[in-house]
Amino acid sequence: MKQRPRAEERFAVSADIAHREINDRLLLLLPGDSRLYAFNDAGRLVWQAVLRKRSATQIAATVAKTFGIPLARAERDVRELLADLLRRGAIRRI
Amino acid sequence: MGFPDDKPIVSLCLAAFAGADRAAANLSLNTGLLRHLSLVSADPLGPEIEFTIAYLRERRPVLVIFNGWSAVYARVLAALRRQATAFAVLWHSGPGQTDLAGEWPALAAIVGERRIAHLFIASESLYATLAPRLRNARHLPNTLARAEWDAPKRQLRRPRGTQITLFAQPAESARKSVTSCLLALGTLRRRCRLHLNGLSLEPRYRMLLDLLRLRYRDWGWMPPQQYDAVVRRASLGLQVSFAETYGYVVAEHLARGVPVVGSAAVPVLARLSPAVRRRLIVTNPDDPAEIGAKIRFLLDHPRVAAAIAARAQAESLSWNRRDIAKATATLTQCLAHRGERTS
Repeated sequence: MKQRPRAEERFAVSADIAHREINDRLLLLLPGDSRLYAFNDAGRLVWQAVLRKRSATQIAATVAKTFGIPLARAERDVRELLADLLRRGAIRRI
Repeated sequence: MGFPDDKPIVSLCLAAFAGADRAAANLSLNTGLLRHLSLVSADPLGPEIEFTIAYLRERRPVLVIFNGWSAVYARVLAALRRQATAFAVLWHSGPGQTDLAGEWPALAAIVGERRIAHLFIASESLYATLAPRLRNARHLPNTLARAEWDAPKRQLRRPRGTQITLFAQPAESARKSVTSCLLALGTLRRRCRLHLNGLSLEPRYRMLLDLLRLRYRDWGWMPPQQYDAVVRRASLGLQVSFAETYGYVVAEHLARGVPVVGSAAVPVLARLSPAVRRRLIVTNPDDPAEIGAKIRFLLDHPRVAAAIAARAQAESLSWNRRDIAKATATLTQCLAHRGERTS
């Protein structure tokens, strides 16, 4: 089983992912999947940060600041989302 | 952002039309020629359809197949009017279902739409009658995914007693003659457990289930693995429909070696050999006594039931293979034809 994302790790969007922002909503199409995934505002922020090659810690700090939530909670939520995206092949470690 | 993919065909279907969506997904799996997208929203101006239009603009597939007809597809057609992509509609409903679902106006709109290069018709009977009058109709049969026959070979431990499935959503219960099926089950003397997928949510059916003292378990929506286990543990299934386009529930039972009592309106059953049909098909879907007699015979003669199920499984596997080959050939011909016109 792959390790969960670590604090200083950075990620990149996988080459075979179709993604686009439409009317402030981020939509994602994974290879081999027929459904589109729509991200909420927090998910969109995480995705944008992944595109900018931010580390998991930096992403969590941005999420905590933007949504006014405790850093520990943001770190937990961001790691969970990154782990899920890794598991689905939407992003990869760099 | 780019939309990487290399399939020459993109298929679109509203997820709410579960049967058509499953058929289109199977077409993708079985032919390998298309990328299927399942649309959750029917809003022609929503972000999902905007994404889809952007996807189609960048991908520029040779052919886009709309599964059925909807305002969202009209929006796609309008948005891509300058693109050299061909468009097709895959009409899944059979004659009766087209009528019952009030879909004739949609079908008429497609027939009159000049940008629809191909009208694929899944129902053999609808195709046979309409094709001579239409310039662009082709028969594209629905199929069951090859993987359905690759379900784990290990036998699940069957629970004690008789297990009968009756899969019908409340919204489609009238079409599937659910009341007659429940009344038929009420005439059985043996103890059996009925497995449902949402029917008891409807108060009138819960009342009938209680009135007839039927033991049941309503699983509601089932994830694929659970659905597979429930079907494989069943003694038999019931699907006595008045109209059916294909009969995926029936096909999925037959693929797992489970016999299904049904009607001739279920194409999957109607194609079986006469000896099998005689045991499984009722002549009148509205006759609880006849449905009950078919059920009783299969339950009272387990060896015959097993032989019938094995034969139905082999026959349906055989024609599913033929249908997959036919669907692949039809799509390949359309792509080749398109290539000639555009080269």
